[in-house]
Formats: sequence, C-alpha cells, structure tokens
Amino acid sequence: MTDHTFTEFEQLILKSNNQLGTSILLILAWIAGSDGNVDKSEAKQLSEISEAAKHGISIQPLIRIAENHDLTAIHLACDIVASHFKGEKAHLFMEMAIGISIADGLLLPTENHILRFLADLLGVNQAGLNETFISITGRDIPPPSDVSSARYWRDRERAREGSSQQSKRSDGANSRKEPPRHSSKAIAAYATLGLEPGASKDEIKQSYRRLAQVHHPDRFSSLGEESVAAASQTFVRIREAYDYLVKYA
Amino acid sequence: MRDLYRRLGISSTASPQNIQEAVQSCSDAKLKEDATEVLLSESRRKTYDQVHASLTDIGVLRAKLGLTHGANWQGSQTQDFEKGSWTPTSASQAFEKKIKRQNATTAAKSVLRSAVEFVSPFIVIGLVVGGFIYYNSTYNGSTSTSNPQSSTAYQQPSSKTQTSGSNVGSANEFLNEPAFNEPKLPLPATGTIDRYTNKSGQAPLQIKTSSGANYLVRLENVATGTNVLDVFVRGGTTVDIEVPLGTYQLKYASGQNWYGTQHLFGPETAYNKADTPFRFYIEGQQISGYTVTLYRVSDGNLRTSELPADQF
Repeated sequence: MTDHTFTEFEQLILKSNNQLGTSILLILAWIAGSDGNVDKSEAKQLSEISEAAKHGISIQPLIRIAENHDLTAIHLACDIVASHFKGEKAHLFMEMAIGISIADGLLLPTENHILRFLADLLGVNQAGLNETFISITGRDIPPPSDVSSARYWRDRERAREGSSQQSKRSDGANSRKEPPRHSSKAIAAYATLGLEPGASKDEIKQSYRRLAQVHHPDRFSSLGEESVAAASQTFVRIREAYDYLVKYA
Repeated sequence: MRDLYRRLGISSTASPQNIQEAVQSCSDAKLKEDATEVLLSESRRKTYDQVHASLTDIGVLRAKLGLTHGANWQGSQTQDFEKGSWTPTSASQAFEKKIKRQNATTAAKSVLRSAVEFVSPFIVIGLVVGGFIYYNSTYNGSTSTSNPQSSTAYQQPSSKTQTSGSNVGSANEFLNEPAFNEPKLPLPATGTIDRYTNKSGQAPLQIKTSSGANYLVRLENVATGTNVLDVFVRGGTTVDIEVPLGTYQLKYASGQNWYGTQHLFGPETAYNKADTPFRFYIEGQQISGYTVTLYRVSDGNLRTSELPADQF
C-alpha cells in the first residue's frame, strides 16, 4: 500500500503542520470559490490566513480542490473542523466563515447557503447564526434569494430601473450590478462595517467600535494562529474601511 | 430555490436549444415561466448555475454528514437538493483507518529495509520451500488419519525437521498405499479468506509469494491454538489482508494443485510453520503489522520448519 491510496487532500493533511488550519482553509476556499471562482482579493486573504496558520501547505492546491467541488475532501475538512469547534467555540468559526463570505461586501446566495450549512454542522441554530451575523454586519442574515423564480429576476430589474439613484439591496447579489453612486471602494467599505452606503459619520463610528471589539484578535488566541490571523485580517479590514470612510465619505 | 433542470427533466449542462425545447413542451405554467426567465437568459443562468452547484454540493454533504434535518436547512425551499439515499459516514474515521493501515505498512517496510541493511535476526521474512515435494510424496490424504510423514529415499536435505522415530514404522506401512485420486479443483483466487472469528480485522498483513507453488496461509491464536483465519495466495502474487489484533502462529500449506479444504494440495502438500509468533498490536498511532515473503531469501530473518500434516 503506497501513498497513492490517499486522496490529494488527505496527503496535504498528512503533510500539514497544522491540520485544523489546513481544514479551515479548505472550507474558507470553498466559500470564496462558491461563486464560480476565487478572485484576487479572496485569494490574497486566503494566502494571508494560510501563512499565519503555519501549516506548511500552499494555498493553491486547496483553492483548486475547492473549485473542483471535491466533496470527499470538503467532507473530511468538515469533520475535522466540527470536532474542534464544538459548543461555545462554534460561533468563532462562524465569524471566520462570515468574514470571508462578506469579504467583497456582498453576501451571495451561494455563500448564504453555505453559512447555513456550516451552522448546522457546528450545531448553531438559526437564532445563533443570525446573532453572529448581526455582530459582524450589523444586520440580519437575509433569507437566500430564490434565483430559480422568475419573480426574483423581475423584481431585480424593476428595482434597477425604478431607483437608479437609490442603491437598493434586498440581497447582496442585487447590488453587484447596480450602477454605484458611491465608488465601489466606498460601497465595500460601508459593507465591511455592515452599513448601507451613505450612512452617517456617527453610524460609521458606532459600527466600527462594535466590530473592532468583536474582531479583536486577542479574543481568538485560544484557537490557534489561523484563527488569530483571520481575526487580525478582518480587524485590519475594518480599520481600513473606517479610515477610508472617515476620510472620503 | 428549485432544481429547474430536474423539474424539466434535463441535464444541468443542457444546451440552450434543449432547454428551449423542454420549456416549450412543459405543461406546468409556473415552471415554464420560471425556466423561461431564468434559464433562457445567459447571465441569469450563470448565477442560477452557481447556486445550483452549491446546493447540489451542500445536499450531498448534508446527507453524508447526517445533517439533512438541520435547523438551517429544513423549510429553506431546498428540498429539491436533498439527497436521502446517502448513509451518513465519517470521513475522519475512514481517514484515520487509512493512516493506521499506512503506518503499519510503513512500519513493516522500514523493518524490512533494516533487515536488508543489517541482516538483523528478528525480522519478518521467509526462508522456505524447496525439497518439500519429495518429502511428502507418499502421503495418502484420503485414508490417512494420523501422521502422513514418510521416510522415503528422498530426504529433506536438512535433518533438523525430521520427525520423531515413532513415525518411521508407520511410514513404511504407507509405502504401497493406492494413489491419491481426489478430483482436482480450480485454484481459489488470491485473497480468498475463511475467517473463524468475529473479531474485525485491524492490523495489516501482507503476504508475498513466488511463483511455482500456491499457498494456504493460516493464523492460529498462540494462546488457545484455535484457527483464526485461512487465506489462499496463489504463487507469484501478493495479498493484503487485515487481521484482528493478537499474537498468532503462522502456518502454511503449499503445493501445485488444489483439492479443496480437506485435502488442500493433496499428497504433495508441504506444511510449514514460522518459528516465531507474529504479534499484531497497537502502539500509539501505529498498528504493527507484517509483510511476509514466502520464498527462499538468503539472509532471511524468519526461520520456518516443516510441520507434520496433522499439526496443521
């Protein structure tokens, strides 16, 4: 019996210096790639977490495995993650997952479904998931858009025609193709802080304080480097968004 | 979120023309409307396909992980993506098992390597065969109930395993026995196993053989002397099996032709046993297993001796 009986992901896990970190990264890559591909900013974020995880595994094969929908690999990663994030720790993983989901300022229906799946995996109920989502974004997790209904698309069209001046978002997927009144960077910054574009300076400040508290890396120190790294990253992103909005908004 | 493809009875990779046709022949007005708006627009279909792919993945994963009744799934209009037919399994357990097996094999291999390098005396391998055909040539398997050893002119070169004197007299009586005439049976496949225990196999055992003779390898519990399993290995093949943890005496019968479990390889059957017991045990993360090579190797590290048939 030789190495080839292990799948690619199993081999990576065996080589990894931090198997939990490698598993977390595969799931985060799965979330990031669920809209068809892992874009540049997502890849950058993943590779930063990967570096901090000190697992000695390159992020590229993990992204490829996730993009190939390798369910055997994701299943194993789910098992490993679930065994580490039991009970009270569960929401810490959910925070990481939500963090990568909204990294681009949008919560796509695919990401929405995956978050709900991960919540069930870790035994987090609907209220718990919503609470964690609110703590990060300041708003409720929306029901996933039903992109299989004609109505959804017609509503979208109408919203786009009817209010081109007013940025309306019933679901994250809507806003992507809307003509932005604010620059895309500003919209992303607002979204990072869980705010609608055009929120007041007070709202920005309030939101920043709340989020900075939630994502302070110290809170994650018990979970190992990759969790601290994910949190630091979110933390940095929040501060950058805040700095940007204070300057230009 | 519904699986429009499934409801239309087409594949998710269907061409726009196929979709068009399926939509036109669709009798459900609502489905027709949705499919027209969603699937017949290239950009909408792209978005739909992403969600469709994710939900398909999630449906399978939920089934595999036993999460099909999760609080965040039920009632979320995703029943089209439920995959009830999967039995929940643990990927990590399967993985751990693989690792244990791999470790054990690696352990056996490294032991083997060191054997080559140092010719150390306590490693696993066989020094066997050769000469046995003469030795048992007059054994009449069909009538003999006791000791079949016979002292013909063809002697095993080594006298060390010669059986005790009590056999000699009886051996002579068999000299003129009628020939063995049981029907020859087809050779069992390598890896054909008869297990005599309910305990599940855990530790790896690899058996390699050279061509020229076929083998029936038997493991007996050292403490109780009871048979644990028999595995058939054709000459020139290798078999990997899993055996319950424990300490075993390894015995094997070998020969050319197969006459069934009662007569084994007929009158030409050679019986041997390994002189040292095999211990299969768990230590930390590793399960200790063995690779046994059943052919003569110089500097081999497992001594074997011939065995009277009734002791097999």
